Amino acid sequence: MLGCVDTGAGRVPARLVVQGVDASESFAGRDGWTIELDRAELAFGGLTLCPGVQAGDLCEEARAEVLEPVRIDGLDPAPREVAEISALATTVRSAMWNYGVRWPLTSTEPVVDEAAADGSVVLEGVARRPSDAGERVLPFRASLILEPAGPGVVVVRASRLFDHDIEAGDTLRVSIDPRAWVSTVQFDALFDATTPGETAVFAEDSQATRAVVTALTTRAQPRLSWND
Amino acid sequence: MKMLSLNPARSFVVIALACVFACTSPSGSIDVFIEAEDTIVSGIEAGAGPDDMQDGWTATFDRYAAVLGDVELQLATDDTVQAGLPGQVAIDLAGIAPSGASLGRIGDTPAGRYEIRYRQGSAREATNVDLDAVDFEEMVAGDCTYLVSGAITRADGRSCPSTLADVPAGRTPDADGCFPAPAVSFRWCASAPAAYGPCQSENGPSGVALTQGGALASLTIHGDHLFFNGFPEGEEGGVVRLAQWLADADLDLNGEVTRAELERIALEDVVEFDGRYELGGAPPLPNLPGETTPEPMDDLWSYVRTQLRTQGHLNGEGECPVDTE
Repeated sequence: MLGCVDTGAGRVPARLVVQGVDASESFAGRDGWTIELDRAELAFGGLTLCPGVQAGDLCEEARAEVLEPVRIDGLDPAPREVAEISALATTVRSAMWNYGVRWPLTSTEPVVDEAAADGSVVLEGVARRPSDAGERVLPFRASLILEPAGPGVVVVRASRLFDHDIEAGDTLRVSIDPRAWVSTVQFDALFDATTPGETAVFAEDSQATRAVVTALTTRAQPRLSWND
Repeated sequence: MKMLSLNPARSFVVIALACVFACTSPSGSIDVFIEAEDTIVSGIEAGAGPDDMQDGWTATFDRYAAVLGDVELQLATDDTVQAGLPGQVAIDLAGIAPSGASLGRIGDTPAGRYEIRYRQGSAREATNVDLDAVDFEEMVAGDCTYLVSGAITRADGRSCPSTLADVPAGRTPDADGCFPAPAVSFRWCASAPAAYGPCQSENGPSGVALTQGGALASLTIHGDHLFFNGFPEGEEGGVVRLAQWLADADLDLNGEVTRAELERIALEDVVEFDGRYELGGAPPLPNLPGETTPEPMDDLWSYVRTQLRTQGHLNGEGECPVDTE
């Protein structure tokens, strides 16, 4: 599960904890829609922690790696320990990760790990909006694969995350908030494209899919923090 | 070669172990230049080559004013040995000579390999080198790092604006919801402050090697990142250049894309940002005043400013990580 470059620093045990949010209440979406989420799961990892402020090519030596992706229930607000990780007792400042799909340099196509067997992201819920003709109700479902753009590429390279000296017993918490993934979906367009009474499915090239992917790669990335 | 009127006394060398170096070590001078990537001067041609614009558009720049400077060098083997060129200049990279413009010389510096850092700040803290007074005043008033103007052209170009479009009366879209747009211009005064470094060289160890014969260091500003497919990995290996997103941002179909239009377009509404784009490697924008978290990159204007903050390089293609301090 773990693999670190040995730089001479001692290995120490640390814990990987994941956490979602309480989204039992409906929340505001775009253009007057309110959203309820019944299911929101994310495949997270592999994860690499880097010593430099900037990850990616400039991450010359991994300080800790979680090679096997984990599945996070985004609607479970309770912290859940998912792995006992062994890291190097040294400083980490940035990280890079995939969403359950990796693309090794030696492979001609991406590899979907078990955690992403149902999709990197799986969403189910209902969106509602008042209208002159009565309330619009739109059940929706999404099962999206977020794959690297090419061999050796990692989907998210997050810079300036923290400046943390890893010590034995530390906890790295990965928190996600799936409400932010769907809050910018244009449900009006999705409603118009869906047969009444049926469940809307986020199509590959749709605005709805772009909204989720953009959120997870930019403004609503999982939040990584130590010992909080 | 353009020579900047920079006072040599502005350069500095701090040598903690002065006698040791002065008495026993060779020394030399580092000449620092400002250099524009060829894309700024010559534009980006449409084509299928690896450096071409892949979606049929050609881009040209008639102005590419940038603020940069505050060069800092640090001996790689002894961080008490430092040298530099303080101060920032505002210069039009679109009119720069192929050999670059001299920023200044750092003289009598102990030989060795140096890490190099530099900054891009605001015109408010810069000396105007060759900008029109009106342009420079605009940059000062707007607290801008860049003033970039140019156009994208394509004989059969189309603008396919989003549902936000303010379509003028009498304009009828084609079957795809698009309008003819053979040329789309832009002129953006943008704040994009950045601290670069330690910079890598294009091939080999990072920084600059100074010998008794001297050394050259060129602060190279790239011009094509605006057209990258997001933020692909360093060394530009996975880069594809595309411009249709810019044509689509002309919401009022007047042939010019403004800051106001870019600010109205959320990233998730950019149809062009599909699987070809890598958005997950964007360096964070600086914190907003009074905030403890970075300004979000959530619309096309913040996207453009984020791209501008990735353009600082060393000696051509040497990568410079941004905001590492």
